[in-house]
Amino acid sequence: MNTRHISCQLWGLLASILWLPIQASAATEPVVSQLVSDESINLQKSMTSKHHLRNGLPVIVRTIPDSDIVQLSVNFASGLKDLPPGRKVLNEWMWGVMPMSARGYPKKKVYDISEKYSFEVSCGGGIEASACAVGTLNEYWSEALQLLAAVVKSPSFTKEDVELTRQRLEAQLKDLPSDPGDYVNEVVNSVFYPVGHPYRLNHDEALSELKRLSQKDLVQFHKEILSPDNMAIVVVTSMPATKVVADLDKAFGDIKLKRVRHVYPKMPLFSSNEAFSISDRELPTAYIRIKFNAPGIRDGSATALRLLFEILSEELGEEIRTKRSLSYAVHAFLIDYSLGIGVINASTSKPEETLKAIAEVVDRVKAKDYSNEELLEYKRGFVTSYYLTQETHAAMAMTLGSSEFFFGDANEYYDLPRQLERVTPAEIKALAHKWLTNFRIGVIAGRKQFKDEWARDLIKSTASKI
Amino acid sequence: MWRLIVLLLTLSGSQAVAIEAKSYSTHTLSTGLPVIGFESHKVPLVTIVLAAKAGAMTESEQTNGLTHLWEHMFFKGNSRLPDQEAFNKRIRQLGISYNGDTSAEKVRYFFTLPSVFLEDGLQFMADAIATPLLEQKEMERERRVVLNEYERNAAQPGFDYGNLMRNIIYGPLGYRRDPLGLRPIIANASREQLLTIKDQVFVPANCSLLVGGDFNPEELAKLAEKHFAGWKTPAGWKPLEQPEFPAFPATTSFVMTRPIVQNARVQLTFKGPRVKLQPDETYALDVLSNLLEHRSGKFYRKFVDSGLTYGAGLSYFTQAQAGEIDFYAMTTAPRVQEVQKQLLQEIKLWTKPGYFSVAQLDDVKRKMTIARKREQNAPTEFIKELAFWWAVTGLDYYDGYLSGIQRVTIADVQRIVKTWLEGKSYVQGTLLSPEDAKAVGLKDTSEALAVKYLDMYKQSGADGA
Repeated sequence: MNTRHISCQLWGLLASILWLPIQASAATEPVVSQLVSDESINLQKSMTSKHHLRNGLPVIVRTIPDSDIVQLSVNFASGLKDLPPGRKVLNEWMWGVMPMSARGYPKKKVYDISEKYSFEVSCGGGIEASACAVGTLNEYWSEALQLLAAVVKSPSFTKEDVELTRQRLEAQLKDLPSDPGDYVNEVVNSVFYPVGHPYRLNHDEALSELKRLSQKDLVQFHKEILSPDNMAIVVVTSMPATKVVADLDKAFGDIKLKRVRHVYPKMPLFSSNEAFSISDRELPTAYIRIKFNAPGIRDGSATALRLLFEILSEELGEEIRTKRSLSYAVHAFLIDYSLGIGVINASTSKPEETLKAIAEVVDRVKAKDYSNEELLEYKRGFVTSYYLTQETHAAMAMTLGSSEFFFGDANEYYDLPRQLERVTPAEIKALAHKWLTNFRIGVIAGRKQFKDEWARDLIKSTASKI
Repeated sequence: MWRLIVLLLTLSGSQAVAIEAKSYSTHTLSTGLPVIGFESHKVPLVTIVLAAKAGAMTESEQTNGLTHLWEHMFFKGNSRLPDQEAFNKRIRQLGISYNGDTSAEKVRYFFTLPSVFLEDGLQFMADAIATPLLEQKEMERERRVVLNEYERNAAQPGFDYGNLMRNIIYGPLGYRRDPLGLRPIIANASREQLLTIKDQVFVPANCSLLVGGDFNPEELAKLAEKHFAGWKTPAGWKPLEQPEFPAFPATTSFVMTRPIVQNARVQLTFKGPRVKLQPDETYALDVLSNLLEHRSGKFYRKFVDSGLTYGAGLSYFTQAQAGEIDFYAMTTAPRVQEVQKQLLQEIKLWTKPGYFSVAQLDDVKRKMTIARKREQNAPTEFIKELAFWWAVTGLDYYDGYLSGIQRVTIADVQRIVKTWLEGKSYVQGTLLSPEDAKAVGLKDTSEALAVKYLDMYKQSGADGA
């Protein structure tokens, strides 16, 4: 029996044992004892291994048998939040320049190799974490790894690349207001984050920073974050973990340890007088975005909170779209960083009615005693999403990288179904009461179409009584 | 009978990639409904897609936009689930993630759910497509949602630009490329119109069922027969006839200004091949499009890497009833006229020896082959892709696609440039802000054209927005 055959058996097992408790009654009323079986979770954990390079840099290898695709992701626990005001734009700028050229890889060589082997190293800076990644085939692993290592460790930051990226970023930032769906986020951020908050990035400020900062600042930022204890590598592959780790050690094991500055953000404070912002623009439909505080991903209530947002989104959709036809696009979701951020979005030609309906739905969710059966229905939708994040190599790498950063353990992710099973109706109600409060509202609408009091009424109705 | 399709491709050149495509299977139910299955046991999920050869192309001037309204009504009640609340509850019970889309030449309804609920999912899909209630009361509610969707689109700065470009190219038949339709038609739609659409296009003879993910093909065949057997094509049904579009117009240019636009967009649209009539031309065009993206190539260096534009390229969207080739660039206002000039000049260079190299051609072929492999690595998305190809080109085209790409030579690329682009008429649109237009000496010329094409549209019988 060779390894390949064993792998096939494992995947067959994974596919067949999941949901067994449900299958018996699936055609009628599904009854679930476990959302995902222990065997399945254990199997996934057994296919995920953690290693350390000689400099301590953690490496997660997730085995996907019978696939010649490989995803390699080098993650950094640094992002927008770690940059001080006045330097925020470096986050997007630096990651944009990095893949363009590196020591031993002038731009022409980067292009030639990338085209020859059909891969592309890409880098991106997030709010809390950032990454450089490449997806390729096993047979091009060596070429992709060497290029990625050069980009991560010794990007060239040539004046030409820096300037070209500056121009592109400037165009992108200038263009932001043209899409109201994107721009409404900035409108609400202006009242959600106080000036100086680690998560705050305003496009006008960013444009001004772009003019002031230079290549030296990019080089400095890169130096500040390159340290093995600020990084984690994730590889999703069918190649043996021993080979992968040995190759990575040669490529990344020489990165020196240094102290990396991290900022730990605090929840933005609420002031009802400064909780509403409107951008005056005559549009066929108004755009509304609401934000409010929530606990972060490491909080013990994080899984229950995710479920609460699933419920809130469904309830908003049912009331505002299905029953009242006020909006094509209304939904709620949770951004779960080390701080949580609750978000409600709606576009509507009837903003007054929509804001009132949002208030009613929020009150109802707070007051309602959901039954275990109702909760189970919402939990099931989560399981579909859970498996969707495991469908592609890239999605899997991203999920495991995030789990490693936030929990120091990539395997924590696999336990999500177990945590979800434990969430009770009482928890949902308590969380709704505690966190569906203190709304900040951003709106894009014509001044003639929108009265401020509509937003202020919702802010007042959700303001915390404490 | 199930038909297994296995594809084995080997690229020429030093970096050969052998690809054995994942097999998909096909089967036809007793009602004539094709069932296409793509097995992948990576995760215990299945995605079920119902595809129809329908969209704007099967609408009339009086029903433009109603196939999209029908898409919304699909997620309302049916004989088993009486209203959308019941529909939504069932979605939650089965852990379904769902959506649908309507375009000029295809409609897809799709949902992903745990594979143990495959039978429930098939029944759910069969009920929705075969027995929709299409109730007037529900339609009144849903039309307001669709109108809000329309307004969201209208809030985008490129909305009028796209409409004008389409109406210049297709004249009075522009509506047949516009799945969103016209607002007054949506606002006045009747249940009878939707019922007519159901019998015209949502019949087994015009649709297919596609299932991707973790399932057993034999079981799928049995379950599909069981749940879809009651859905039948009306006697005497025939596909709707497709009128020929008017001849591509003589070269026309316009400038459109919109206050919120920050950068400038330039687009030159040429007539392109139709996939059913000229499949070999489509392979060469796709190769050309990829050659222009080649980062070591002359075009990329000149237009993208130099900073002349923020993005430029050639896009060809494979379609059966129409063909368009869009040559576009995003740039700053001060550069817009220079970019327009350079784009046109560049086309002439594409037929010169040495502009594209054989090595670049090999790179592009390898890239397109690997892209296919990566598509199949995501079964949830892949089965939707397959639905697109089934509806628009037929799966024979899809199966032969990589072979077709392999056959393309530099001479083929040069030939299609001469056939479709060099010296051919085109429609050029430029979109920028009024301030920028003034600063660079451009005038908005779109208003007069918009009126002209709106008048033409009204004369064709539609009540223009």
